[in-house]
Amino acid sequence: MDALFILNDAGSFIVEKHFRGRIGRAVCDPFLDLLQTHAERGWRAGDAIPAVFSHDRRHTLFHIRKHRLFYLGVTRVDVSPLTMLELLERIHSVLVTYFGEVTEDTLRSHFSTLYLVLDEMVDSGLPAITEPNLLEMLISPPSVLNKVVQVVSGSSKVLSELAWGSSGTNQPPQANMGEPAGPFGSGGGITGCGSDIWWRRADVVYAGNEVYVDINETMDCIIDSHGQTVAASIAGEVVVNSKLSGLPDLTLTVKNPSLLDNSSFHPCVRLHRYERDKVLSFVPPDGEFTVCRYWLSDPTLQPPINLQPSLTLMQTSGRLELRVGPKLSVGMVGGTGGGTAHTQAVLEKVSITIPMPEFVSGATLTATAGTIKYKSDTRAIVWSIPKLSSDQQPPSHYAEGTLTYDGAKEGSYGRVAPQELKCVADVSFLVKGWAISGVKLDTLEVSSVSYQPYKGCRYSTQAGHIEYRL
Amino acid sequence: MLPTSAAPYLEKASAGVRDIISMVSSSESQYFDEEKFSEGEVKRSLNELAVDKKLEAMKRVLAAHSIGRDVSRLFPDVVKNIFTPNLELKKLVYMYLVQHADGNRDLALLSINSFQKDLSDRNPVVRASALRAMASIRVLEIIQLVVLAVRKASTDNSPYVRKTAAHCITKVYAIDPDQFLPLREILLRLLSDIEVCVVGTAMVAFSEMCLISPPEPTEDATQANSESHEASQSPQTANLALLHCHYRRLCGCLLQMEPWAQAVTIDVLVRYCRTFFTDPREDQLRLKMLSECGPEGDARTASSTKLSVPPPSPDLKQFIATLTLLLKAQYVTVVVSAASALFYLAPLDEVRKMVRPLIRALKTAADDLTDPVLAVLKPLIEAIPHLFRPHIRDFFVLVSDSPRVKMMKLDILDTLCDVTNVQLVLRELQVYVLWPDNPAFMSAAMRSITSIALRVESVTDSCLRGLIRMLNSQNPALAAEAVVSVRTLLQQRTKTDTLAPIVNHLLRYLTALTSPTARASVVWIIGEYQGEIPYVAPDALRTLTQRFAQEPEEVKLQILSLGMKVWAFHCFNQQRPAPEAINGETSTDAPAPPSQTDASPKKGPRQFSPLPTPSDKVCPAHVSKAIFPRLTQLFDHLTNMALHDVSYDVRDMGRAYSLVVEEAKKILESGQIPPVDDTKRTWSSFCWWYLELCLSSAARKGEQVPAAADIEERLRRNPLFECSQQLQRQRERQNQQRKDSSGPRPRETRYHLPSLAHTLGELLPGTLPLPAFPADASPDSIRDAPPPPPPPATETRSIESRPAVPPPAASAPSSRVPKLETFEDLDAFYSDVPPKWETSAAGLTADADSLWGGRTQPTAGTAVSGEDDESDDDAQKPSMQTTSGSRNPSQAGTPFVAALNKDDSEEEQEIIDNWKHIGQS
Repeated sequence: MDALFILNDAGSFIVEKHFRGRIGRAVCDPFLDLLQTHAERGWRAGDAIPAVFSHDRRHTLFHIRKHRLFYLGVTRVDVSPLTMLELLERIHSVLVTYFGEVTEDTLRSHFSTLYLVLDEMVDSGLPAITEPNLLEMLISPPSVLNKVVQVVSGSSKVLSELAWGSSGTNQPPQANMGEPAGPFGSGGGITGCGSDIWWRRADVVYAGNEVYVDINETMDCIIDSHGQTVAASIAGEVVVNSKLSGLPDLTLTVKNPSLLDNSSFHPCVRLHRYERDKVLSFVPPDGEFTVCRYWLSDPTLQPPINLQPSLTLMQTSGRLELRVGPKLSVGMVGGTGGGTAHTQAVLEKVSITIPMPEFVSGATLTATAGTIKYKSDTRAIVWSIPKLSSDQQPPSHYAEGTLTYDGAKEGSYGRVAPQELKCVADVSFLVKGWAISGVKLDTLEVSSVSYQPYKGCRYSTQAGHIEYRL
Repeated sequence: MLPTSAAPYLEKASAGVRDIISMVSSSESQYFDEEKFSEGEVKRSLNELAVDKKLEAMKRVLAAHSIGRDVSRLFPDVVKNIFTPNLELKKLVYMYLVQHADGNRDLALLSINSFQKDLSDRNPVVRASALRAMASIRVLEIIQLVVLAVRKASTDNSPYVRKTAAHCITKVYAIDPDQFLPLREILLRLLSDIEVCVVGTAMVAFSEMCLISPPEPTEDATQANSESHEASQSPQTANLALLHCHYRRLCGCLLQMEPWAQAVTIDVLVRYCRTFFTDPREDQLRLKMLSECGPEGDARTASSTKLSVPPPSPDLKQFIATLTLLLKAQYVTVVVSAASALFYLAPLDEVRKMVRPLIRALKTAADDLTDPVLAVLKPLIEAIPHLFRPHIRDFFVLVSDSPRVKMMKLDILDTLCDVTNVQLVLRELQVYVLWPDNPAFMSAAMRSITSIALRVESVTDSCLRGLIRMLNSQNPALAAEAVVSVRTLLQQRTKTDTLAPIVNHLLRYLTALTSPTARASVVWIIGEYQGEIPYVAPDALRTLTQRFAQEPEEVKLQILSLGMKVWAFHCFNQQRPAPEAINGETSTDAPAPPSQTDASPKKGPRQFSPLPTPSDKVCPAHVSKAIFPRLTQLFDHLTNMALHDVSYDVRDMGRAYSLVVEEAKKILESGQIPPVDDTKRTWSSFCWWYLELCLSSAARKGEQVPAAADIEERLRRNPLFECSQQLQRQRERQNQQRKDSSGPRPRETRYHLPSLAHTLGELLPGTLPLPAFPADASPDSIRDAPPPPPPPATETRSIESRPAVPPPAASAPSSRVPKLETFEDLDAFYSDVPPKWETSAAGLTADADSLWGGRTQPTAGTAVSGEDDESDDDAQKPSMQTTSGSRNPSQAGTPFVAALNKDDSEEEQEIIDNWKHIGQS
């Protein structure tokens, strides 16, 4: 990576960092042009600027989009595009741990910390120190407390912990390769926790020791016009939030390890142990991290929602009817039980989005619950229902309306035949306390520490891309 | 009532609280306020004593810089603050230095002194940042010092500093490639570091420096390589050979590395394995053997005989085992790198294991990554489709996919489709073509349907039927695409006996078709394949002529050319000799090739070219003769109507066609075929040629018939014909390739995965192709040698004794250890120095020791005095003009400036003056 820019969605520069000599901002022009075109046309479902593209054969631009921000990298030489994109992802996630929410404002108000962090993360265009635990040892995150301390003590807290708190002796650097004296802590390795636990910062002390496990599942699904599932899959992640003192050793087992068959693990997980015993054994980094991601494909899976959509596009107008309700007793047929246990389904943040063809100009819509309207900026009908519950009466809701076509575009829509087009409804929802695959945490043991930590576990299921073909 | 004595405290406390509140509520974004930035104020704050004032000023400067203001004039004021004990301020100053050193080279040189001091700080963070900043200042003159600093840091006791040293190697190499050998020596030492994170970073540096951009081999380089035969190898191979002793350890600790380092290490080790091991992929070997046997070689025996694949080396097995474990890594880039490595290295059984992890990586990756991951998956799927086929549902297209992802998924579906899942895929594709607002995707989906219909014979007919139904779509774009598909399917048909029913079917369908494009295309198809339906085509023309006035313009044009074609067909057909005469005529007549350019009319009338006759079921000559007069009338009527049409195009076309036909009639009456002559083409020869061209499709069908030789010969002279032939051959070849998709395929890609070159489809600077497997493996014993022992710990070696590339053992531990006493000491030092320079005309070594020995790192001072001894035998070092300081007394006390290899003493003097100025102020 030769340069990094962070831009907002209007295309103005917020952060600019050059790693191998200065590159003019003009290099971003092709990107800005594309951004401009999309902004004028309105962002629609599936609209995207190519993640990697080269305009002038000299500079290659690659970017990721996070909410209203673009992280844009520039390279002039051959690098693995995935490495660079994941580095941008990592930069974003580190900024999130530092500033909470990453917006234009937070970036500006913490810009000196931001530059310091970037300096550590990317060195001469190559990823350097990207592990959040390590970075927090080098540069402490800004916080209100730090600011107060700064005023009271008259010096900045940032960096100071490490600057003077490390090797207490006045000894000059005395290389000793045989038995490394830790620079940051008492142990070995770069972090002081030993050379094979580089992801954990040293000397973690908590008054109350807690560890939480979140199992979040995201469901992707395609349902055809007859209500049959065409393709369905579940992407799950096990997020551990560890606030444990010392060097704890965690062992996590699930009741149905076969679900975790196709999974990826955080570097801390002992892969050989997993291959042998199918348990996750690891020394966790401090704070929140994803210990495991798994993926299951099951074409018989059904989403926990009942949607009966009907969209009729006629020559001059269209009619839309939607009926939606929670669906009980769904789960993985191929799963090893436990998944069908939810009888009281509560779906939150339900939203049904139907992108409309270009010739549709508006709609008059009514719904028995929630709000439904046609959004002209994204040219889509959005029906959002805050909560769908099987206890509610009536359990299902209904929405209907007519679509009007754009008269001014008569000529252009005359080139397509509305009655032959098919649209798609994109459904999103969130179910708490339930994992659709039926995965269940069995035990979580914390060993090699003297205390008894508080443990907690949560499940949730949300919709990723669930498309109903109308 | 408070006692009055408490009032000041109270006041102080309240002021403190106010400060806290203002601190908490204010944010750094205020520094971006352009109007508040005043250079003078910042300058003043920078020179104040209070650290937080300085900090604030620095932040202001950086903010101003980031919004594009020129803050380089503050350089001297900023640089002074580098001596601050506050680490945050120090880092900000370093950042400023790195940003501005390019423009202020001379000033940057002045800050070197403080770098030297920080490099021996007791805090590893300070040491590392100083090293990093120093290496980032892109000034060639200090490169010797940077190399020294890197060398020292590479034996630091902190892994963080060693890791930074590994990073800096790349930077230094980018500034001065001449430092290759000393840097590589440091690098190799870091590769055997006990800390895995240092090894990982060293591998990244190794890849950058030794593989991607190694220096051009020079005499020096080859001499340095101990083995003489390395001179003939590429620098990459020579450098990879250096990894022999590290290979096993690298495989072992690959799992513990950081993800970025893992990706790079995998890449390097793949290159290593493809350089030193033989190809263990039995399917690839078989493929190679097949291609060597040639297509007519005994393919069956080659595949059935047990191939003598030598068992892969245990070292390679170890790497492959690690790679399969890495497929469980969380980072997509690691998974994809590992999968690509397996693809290039592993036997098919191991490759199988990568399929599910790859799909997981694709599905669990962030949405922004889908596009690049698919780009890597595509060639893998094309090479081993049978492994991915069970997962075809995971490549179904979503409306919410980005356009590029949609296209790539479509290609993948096309690749994965075979007899077993063709119905599933076709059902999907039929949905895709109905999605609105994306014409490019729709036509791509139609093309996929066509290509599947061509490839999977069981569905060809049903596809054709479906496509013909689509011809009548209300959506003109869809109808047009359907026609193109139908035409392609018809053209690709090899079984001509089934063509006639299809064309007949189309013809019947014509009355129901409303879309102009579709109607026009069907008319075109009839004209093109009239040879198959010689009896029906004239009738179709008659029906169309009846409705001519009501047709839309593009259909009218097609009807006109249909009329032309039908007329031409029967015009030639009626001249066709009786079937029994064909053989005799062609054998005896052996006509002079009409392609001769000197063919003149004097040679006499040429024979009418007989039409090719694939079989006798085709229209006999007497039928043509019978209908020809009526056909001529019909055509005349048609052109007449066209001449009175409202459209210019139709009128023009009608006029042109009627002229051509008039001329042709004349030729027919006279019975003299005009010679085709490229140089002197007459109107009549053109007309005749044009008529023949109208029948080109018929001629193509009868290529094998000897009687067609004449027409073909004439057509050959038409460049269009050559093109169509080439296209035909190319299509046949592609079809062939598609059909034998079951066999093993070459597991190679044009650009190696997952490089940027592959994603973009073009070569970039730094793209390094993968080496091919060698014929002979190297013995495993070369990897037995243990890595060279790490050098003795302390790194304050005297430079005088250092050879150009010192062996690790050469560094002797030194007892001279720099010590920082107090800060007062430092202050005194800086105020003292300038006068000392003026007076130090004595031997430098002693002077330098007295200068630096007690307070700071002596390396810097001694480095200078060391240079002169080496300057003669080491061309890579800047040649030093000053030996022991006596030649140029004024430089004696300015070690850093003196080290800069400057000829211009005036400039040096200026720098010194500047520096003095700063020191005094």
